[in-house]
Amino acid sequence: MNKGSSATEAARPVDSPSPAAGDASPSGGVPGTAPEPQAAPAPQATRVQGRSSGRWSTVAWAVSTVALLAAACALSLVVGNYPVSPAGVLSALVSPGHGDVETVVWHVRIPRTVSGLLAGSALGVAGAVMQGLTRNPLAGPGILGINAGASLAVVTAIALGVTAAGGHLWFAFAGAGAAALFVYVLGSLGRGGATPVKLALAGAALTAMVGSMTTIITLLDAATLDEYRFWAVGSLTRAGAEATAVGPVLAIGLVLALAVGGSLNTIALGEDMARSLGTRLVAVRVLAAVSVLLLAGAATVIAGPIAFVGLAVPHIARLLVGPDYRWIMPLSALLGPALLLLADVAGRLLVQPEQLQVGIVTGLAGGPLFLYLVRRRKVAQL
Amino acid sequence: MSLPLRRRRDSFTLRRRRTITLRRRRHPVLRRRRNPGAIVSLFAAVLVAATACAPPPPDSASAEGGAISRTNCGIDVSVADPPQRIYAAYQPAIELAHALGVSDRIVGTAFLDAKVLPEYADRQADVDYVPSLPSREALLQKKPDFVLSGFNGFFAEQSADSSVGTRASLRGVGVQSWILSPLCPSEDGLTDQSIDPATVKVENIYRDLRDLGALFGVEDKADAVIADMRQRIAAVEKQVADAERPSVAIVSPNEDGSYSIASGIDFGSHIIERAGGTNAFADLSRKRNIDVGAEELVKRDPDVILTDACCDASMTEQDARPEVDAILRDPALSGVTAVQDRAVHPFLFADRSAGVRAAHSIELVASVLHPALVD
Amino acid sequence: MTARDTVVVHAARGTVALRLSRRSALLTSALWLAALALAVASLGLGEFDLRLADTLRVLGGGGTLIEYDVVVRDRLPRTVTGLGVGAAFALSGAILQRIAANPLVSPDVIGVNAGASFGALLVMTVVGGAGASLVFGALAGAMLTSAAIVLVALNRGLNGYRLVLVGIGIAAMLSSAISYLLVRAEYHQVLSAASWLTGSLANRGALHVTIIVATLAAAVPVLLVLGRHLRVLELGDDLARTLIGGAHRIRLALIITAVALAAMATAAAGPIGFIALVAPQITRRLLAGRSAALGPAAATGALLVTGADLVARLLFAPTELPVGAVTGVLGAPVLLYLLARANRIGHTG
Repeated sequence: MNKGSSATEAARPVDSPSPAAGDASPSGGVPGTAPEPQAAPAPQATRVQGRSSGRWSTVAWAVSTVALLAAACALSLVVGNYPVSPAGVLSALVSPGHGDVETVVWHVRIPRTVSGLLAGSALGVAGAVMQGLTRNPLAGPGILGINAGASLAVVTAIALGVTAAGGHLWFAFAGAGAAALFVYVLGSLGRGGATPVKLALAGAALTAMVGSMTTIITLLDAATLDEYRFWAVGSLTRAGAEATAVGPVLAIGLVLALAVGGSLNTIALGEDMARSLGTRLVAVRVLAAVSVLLLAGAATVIAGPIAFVGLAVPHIARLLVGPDYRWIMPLSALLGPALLLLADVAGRLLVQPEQLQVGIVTGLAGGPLFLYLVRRRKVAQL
Repeated sequence: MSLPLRRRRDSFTLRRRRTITLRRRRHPVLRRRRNPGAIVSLFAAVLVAATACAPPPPDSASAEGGAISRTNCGIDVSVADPPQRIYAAYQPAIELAHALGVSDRIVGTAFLDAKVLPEYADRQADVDYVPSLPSREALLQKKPDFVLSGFNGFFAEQSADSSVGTRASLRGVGVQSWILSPLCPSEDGLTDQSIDPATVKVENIYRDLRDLGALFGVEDKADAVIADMRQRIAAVEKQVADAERPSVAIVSPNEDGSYSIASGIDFGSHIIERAGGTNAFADLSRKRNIDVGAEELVKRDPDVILTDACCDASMTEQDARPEVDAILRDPALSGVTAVQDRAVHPFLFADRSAGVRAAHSIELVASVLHPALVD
Repeated sequence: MTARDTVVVHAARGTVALRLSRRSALLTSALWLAALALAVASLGLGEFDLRLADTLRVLGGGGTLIEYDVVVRDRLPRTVTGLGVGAAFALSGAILQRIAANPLVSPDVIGVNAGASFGALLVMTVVGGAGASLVFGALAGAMLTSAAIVLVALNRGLNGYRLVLVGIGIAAMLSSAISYLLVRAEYHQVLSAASWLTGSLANRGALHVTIIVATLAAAVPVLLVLGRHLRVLELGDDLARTLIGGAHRIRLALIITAVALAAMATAAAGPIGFIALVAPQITRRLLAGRSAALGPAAATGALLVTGADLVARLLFAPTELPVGAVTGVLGAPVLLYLLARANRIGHTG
């Protein structure tokens, strides 16, 4: 084998026997496109079976996660700069009025909470799909160039002077879609179609190039930079009522993701194995990529680029319920919003009367979690 | 190279050059360097750059009678003859130069936050303007003899971008400089602020006007500008003296759904006070602009909201309309008194900078706070 | 893979190596000559009008005070810093890519740049510092980050893969902190901060030249001694250990050198993107060969940065772009092209 002959060397199937080739794999300038470790299909397969005896513990975890999410929602409705008692929140919920309390609950906290629910579940599930599809524990939803594409589109919109409320939402979605399409086409060139590793490489390269263009636009126009720096941090206060507009998109993405969950389990056994088990790889890859585009695109539209949630949530789900994607998916859909909302609540409390954007909190809090995961040897071998 | 050695050397030349006057020298571009130095090849040049980057020794001109000198941010600025090639960067500096009537001496302007006031529009149309700050060599290409800046970062030390070098280094090539005094850094080359913004009053602007008037040889014009500003502001203050003081917030909606507001130490707060109002966020003093959520605005419930539109050389108060509409339409703010009374008014970031605009801004704010009292 | 790699291992002592190194020496000289030519051009070109004859006259000791200022005080340090920084980033990338046996590893990925950026931004927006304090802020940030990365990654021996993972985690944390500083910064500071964060050669001086020249002076001898082991190290842990003694320590020394090169380069010029990633890839193709040789990679890096800076200064004149904005836009298509070509000829699995 021609060692290190090109960047695409990394794209060699991971079950190559060579230790060097095992390490060689993609990792671009974005978190989440990192080297694929040596896959260890065999132990994983046994763990799938071994876990099935723990069905009850899985159910218990699922129930606790639902409880955690409920608690996070409650906190998100109660905590804020404007003092409202839990009772006040309740009465505002049952009898909408025009007082300050009602305004705060209905027009600040509920939109914020809904944004968190939608964006969190989308990010969690998109991350799980990406990790399953690429068999890469560091894959996140940003891998298809989605955040980069959305950023460039939003910067262009700002520079062109689009200021209509919610106007940036659709620019973001168009940018995300265009980037994903480009990455997919580039990644599908050549033999073997759109393999995960080729996708990851193409995503990393596109992210770098598009990121530079974004930088140039912002540096040439100070006013655009002034606005863009606020877009670049993820936030749940952006979308308001418009958030619900992407609801259908998000729902389709969730359905697709859940539909491919079973196939991701067989892909985890290795591509040859999956093929011999009758999995139609091309169809699964296309469906999975479309679901990631819809989910991550919707999340970016609602909240902007949010670090780490898509990466970390599937790992936590995996720790709780084992490697079965039919469980990881729904659990990620619950854990994602729970963690995002908790981070948002923390952001409201930490620097009062100012507030920290949720993207900053998830990045700062998610980092240590991620390092912990990396230091556990098992994770590197997922 | 040892750093301390270079430091000593710099301060040495700095002390010598501080006394340079312009009259005794030919224009720096025409002047030949005295000491050719020993650089004969690129390699040697590289070595020199790596070891000392020794500037050529300055001309041994010394200050004599007739030179006018003023102190700005702790630095002596002396000119023998009024500067004839002025470069102005940032809104307040550009407007101040026009106000002093030296527009025909301006060789370049850069970085406006908004359209200059109508009375300067014709003059600004005639001078060279670039939206981005120039590099050092682009500045020197304009052959300025005086650089006036509305922000200290323009003279930041090396390794900072959008800087043309320290004021000492500019003086080394015969260019005098001035920072509008509310933004004085604690030392040449830094970008901090040695003056507590909370103490910045219109009087600081008068002092800059007086000093620059003297240096530019237009004392009478400077006195006239000051008198005009004094008179206009005093008139407003008299009109609103006995009125109730509504609470006012300067609010800019951020892209992420938060709001940037002007705190108690911002000059905007001073403008509101003079115009007969109080800043709803006056108690916050950590920085000039603070980001808050909608809930904080609901809690503070300002009676009047001023927008904070920014940053384009063609921007006028009319261009702040979209911000006004965005605030009026925001359901989260629907309960705020200012929104209910539709007391949300267009205002510009440039309007709250400490410059000759202050009179205009105080009149503008007073007219929206007290429409019945102010004409 | 075994057959080819065995050849490579033997080649270290055989005639192939000689031929390869002669070719590599030729290429290195050609690239350095091109870089120097561009450097001289960039001394003469720019917003301040100077003819070539004037430029030479200024370098020879003539010219006016202002001409001297433009050429010697402004353009010369920036050009020298550009050459050095380009070489340093490229060396750092070439070493890391080979140790991690991963063509997409670069100092940006492992968090060194993010550490430097955070340090610099802290000085810039919170302290209001500039000049030397900014450089030292960046340096402290890069050093602390690198130390943290190496310490966290030092778990049962340092391996390239774990290093990259830890780096990614720390980089992501730091970039959140950077966003925070940027959102909190005052409006007029943001532009300067954003420009620094892109990687820029504007307004450099003796301090920056000293930092990068001293770093290269210290690193090059180390690489001359240890560089030849890279060929073995990239075969992976087990093989390397059987082939050379002290493989673990050599690898650690090389990683530290690579990280230090990137840290110092970032302190001098900001996190100029893509050079570390792309320069080794380009040289590998120019050598039509196996591994990215360090010498040609350094020359390519110097050439790229000098060229990109020239473009950055002239493209939107009189507005100057930071060099990092140009390296990304120029570098990424190269990578995309390489990817597309490799994909099309079915080179990948």
